[in-house]
Amino acid sequence: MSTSTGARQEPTGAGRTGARSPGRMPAAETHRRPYRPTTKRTWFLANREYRAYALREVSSVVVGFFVFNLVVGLVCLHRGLESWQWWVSLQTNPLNLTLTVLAVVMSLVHATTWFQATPKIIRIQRGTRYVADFWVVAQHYLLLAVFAAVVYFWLGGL
Amino acid sequence: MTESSHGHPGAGASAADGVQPVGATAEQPEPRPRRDGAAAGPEAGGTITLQVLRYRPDREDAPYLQDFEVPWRTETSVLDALTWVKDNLEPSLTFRWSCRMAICGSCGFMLNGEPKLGCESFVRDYAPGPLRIEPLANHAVERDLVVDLEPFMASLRAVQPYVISDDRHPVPEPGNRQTPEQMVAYGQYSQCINCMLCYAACPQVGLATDFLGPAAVTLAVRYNKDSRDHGADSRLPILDNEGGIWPCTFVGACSTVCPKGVDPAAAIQQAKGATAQAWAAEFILPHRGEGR
Amino acid sequence: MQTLRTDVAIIGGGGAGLRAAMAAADTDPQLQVLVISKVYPMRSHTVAAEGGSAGVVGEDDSLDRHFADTVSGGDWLCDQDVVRYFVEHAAEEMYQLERWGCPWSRRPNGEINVRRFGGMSQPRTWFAADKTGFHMLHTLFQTSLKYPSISRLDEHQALDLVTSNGRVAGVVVYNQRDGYPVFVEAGAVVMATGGAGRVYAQNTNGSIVTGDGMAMAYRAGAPLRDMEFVQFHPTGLPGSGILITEGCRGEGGVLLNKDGYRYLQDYGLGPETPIGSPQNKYMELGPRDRLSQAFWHEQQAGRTISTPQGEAVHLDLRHLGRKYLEERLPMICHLAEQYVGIDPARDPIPVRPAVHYMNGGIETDVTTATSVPGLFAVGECASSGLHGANRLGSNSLAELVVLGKVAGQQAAALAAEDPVGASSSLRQEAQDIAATYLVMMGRGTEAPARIRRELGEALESGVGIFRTGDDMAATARTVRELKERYTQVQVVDTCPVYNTDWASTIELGAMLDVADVIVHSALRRQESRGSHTRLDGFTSRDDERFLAHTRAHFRASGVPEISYHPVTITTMPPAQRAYGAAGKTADAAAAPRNTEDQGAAQ
Repeated sequence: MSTSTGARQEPTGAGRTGARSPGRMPAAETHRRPYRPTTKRTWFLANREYRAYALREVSSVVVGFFVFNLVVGLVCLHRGLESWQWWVSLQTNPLNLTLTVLAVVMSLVHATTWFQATPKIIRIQRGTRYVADFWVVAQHYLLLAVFAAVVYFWLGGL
Repeated sequence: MTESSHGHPGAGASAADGVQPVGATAEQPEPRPRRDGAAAGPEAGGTITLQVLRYRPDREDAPYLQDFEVPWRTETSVLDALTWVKDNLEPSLTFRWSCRMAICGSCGFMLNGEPKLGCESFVRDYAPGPLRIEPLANHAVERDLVVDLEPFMASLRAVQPYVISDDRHPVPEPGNRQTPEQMVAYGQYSQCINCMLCYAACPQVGLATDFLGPAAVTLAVRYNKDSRDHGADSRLPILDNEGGIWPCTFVGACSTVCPKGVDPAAAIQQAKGATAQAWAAEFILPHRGEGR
Repeated sequence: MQTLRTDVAIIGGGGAGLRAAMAAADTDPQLQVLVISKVYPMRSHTVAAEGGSAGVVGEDDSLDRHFADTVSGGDWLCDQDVVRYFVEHAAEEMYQLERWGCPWSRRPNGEINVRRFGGMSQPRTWFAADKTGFHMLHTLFQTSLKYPSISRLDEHQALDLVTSNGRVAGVVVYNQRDGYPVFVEAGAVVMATGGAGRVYAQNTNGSIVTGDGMAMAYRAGAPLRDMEFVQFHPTGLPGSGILITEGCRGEGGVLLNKDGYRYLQDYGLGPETPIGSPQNKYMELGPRDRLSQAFWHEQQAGRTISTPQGEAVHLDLRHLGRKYLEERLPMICHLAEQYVGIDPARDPIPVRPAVHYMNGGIETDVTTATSVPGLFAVGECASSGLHGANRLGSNSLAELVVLGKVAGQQAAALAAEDPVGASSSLRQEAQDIAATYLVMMGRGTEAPARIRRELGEALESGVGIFRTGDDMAATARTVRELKERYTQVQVVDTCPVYNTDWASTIELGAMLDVADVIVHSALRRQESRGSHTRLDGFTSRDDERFLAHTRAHFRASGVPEISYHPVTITTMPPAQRAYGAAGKTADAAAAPRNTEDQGAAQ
């Protein structure tokens, strides 16, 4: 009898005094008949919190499309002028434009929701208190701003 | 179990309204109080319809909802309402409860789809109703509102939730020193009452049946972060496992529903971070350079 | 019927049961230890204890002082050998919990912090904020998972003990999850089932606190001792009875009547101590019986506050400030906000006495052995002799672990040396016992909820804070009548799994037995001592006739058989019990004689 709970275990004759136990009694038959609910395929629509989570996850797919588009552009550039011009013209396609705008929105969603979540990952203890969530999030926005400025001026310098 | 003495809504309305009472007779009918639900002032009260999930394994193949009309007052908790039903209308209605003060962790239910403790949820907040009471989601239902806790008990045991000492750190006599700062490092994670609300809130518990789950991982982290414990290495293979911390996709609902502010989502993310660090350390310096 | 064999069976998975299990496993790792509990262990009512656990630490305190506080707090009905053993081992058990990971509150330098508590002359109460019981229970439970030889039967309702020639040989339990009875054959049985506060209508206890173990031991022939001493906690929430810890007063909280007056100074607990400077054994830090009695007098005089849930006084914590309250009493803040809609930093909390603790229980000696061979008892279900006529706050959590360890060691030793062998006649007896309970399903006419309600009201009126012979006699008659009605009790539910209708009806049977003993023990004690206080001519302590333990034996028909046996007095002869300024004088006179060569009990 060394399982965590007896509820599942079989009777045994173990133990120091078990030697004198006259064999096992037949195990009683369980009357359990648990009902096992299943998770619906659409569980992520069930409440606001799940929907926000689903949006955060989906946003990465859209951002992924944008990255794919950029990779295609790089390949085209490598292939030569004609190929590159085809890719540039592709960028003005209404469908592509829509997707690009969507990608901008979704990358904002992705960034903000992840920044919002960072206090759970980064917890800075100061004495007997933790640095407030606000400052952890603010720090991320600050870093983003610094990074954006550096990139901007670097590109501007070119 | 026992009759509630907590805000017992006995001064209420007639017992049965649209239900068939089985067995025990109801309280003496009294004039029905006004039904002014949502305005939960100091003297608020009325009646509310509880839609309670019933499942009796000896009778039914699938659960169904049964309606009970229950009187309530300002201080009537959802648990009080359920005990009133059990005492006055339907003695076979089955649910777990004990302390009435949100510390024993027995009375977790889904209230209108949200995991809550029955004893610290108040009928006034659900008036005029109806209020749907179901067993905790993502659990097998043993009977009515009673769910199967054995998978959790197995997870709990698996994460070694106790102080593990090692030869390099002998336990000082008579006890350890631990500063308030060191206590804060794990204090929040030691507040878990094992009420299972986080398991009911976590979609991954429902989808990945071998997931240790929020509370069990949190307890592992609680001991890992305790300055008296040296068992993090021992717990690492349990956490860094297909059914360990990795099924967690950081939905965050566990922390939202926790009645004790434990924040399991944070504990799990930190466990992921610590596990990644352990990988990196192992890559750079296998077996901590001890040449095993 | 399913039969399991174990060496040590422990009934109850609270603090005492778990500590006993670990002690038994440590005593002999070869032994199989089985913890049987009607709930998962972390639901046990130890979880609800708030304030703390006593253990002498630091140079300002001494074992003699803890001893003297306990004996005088118990109005000299304590067995002093037990008190001596207890105070000598309390701190070491607190440190054991520390090494197991209990998050005790600390001083800034990392040492253990202690707080003041009622009736204690020094700050010696170890605490984990205001969730001490919760942290102790979870520490014990989680640590118990480390032991391969400890297994558990969770959600198994114990029905009755099985005896062989007067010696306990096992227990019949019912597996609620699978829905069948199980006979647990055991070399030794430890009863650790907790109190019986649910027999009263207003109590601080959880629904599971129904005296099952007391009743089982009583029916098996073990006497219940000192059951008339029922502790009322002075500060429960009106209506619900939810506990507002004594730690509130230990931290400096004050009690006010409806005029905003600190009325305790009128009841021998003064002079008034300045707000913000609590002083041990004065005013709000008097013992629980005195504070509950003072409330009753204030209520009689019309100086209490009417609330929708009944009369109350105010517990004022406002001067402590929000930051301190959130650090030291976070759960109290939460409970007050949730259950009475009050922010303790801004408004006083309405409180009133509610039944909290059974000072009496299954009679044991200092080794936790009962008078029935093979049966040990520990924790609130036991009467070890530690608490006497009134328990001091924070002695009970310490008792769980100090005597829990003893119980585990003693039971392990007995199980290893002298176990009862299995026999087919015992198995038949077990089967018969199970049958008498199973047959209750689907029978009867008397609604158990009504019997329970009437029982609670009868005990409140007859054996409350103050008692008279007439009221007690009336309550005794009511209990008899309810017992009679119980023979026709109705169990509607016939489902074999999780049949809580049936289980709570069995609990009700235990409550009726315990209530019967409470009221008959009280009727016979013609004096006032500790928490047993009479108004009808027996208003003072009578050491001539009643410096003795009440002992109630079960009789299959009729009322319990009551007898008395002497109290063990070693070093501290009876003296006047006084608090406040009067207590200071009395303490000097009653200080224990030289205890150097008395040694520990055992």
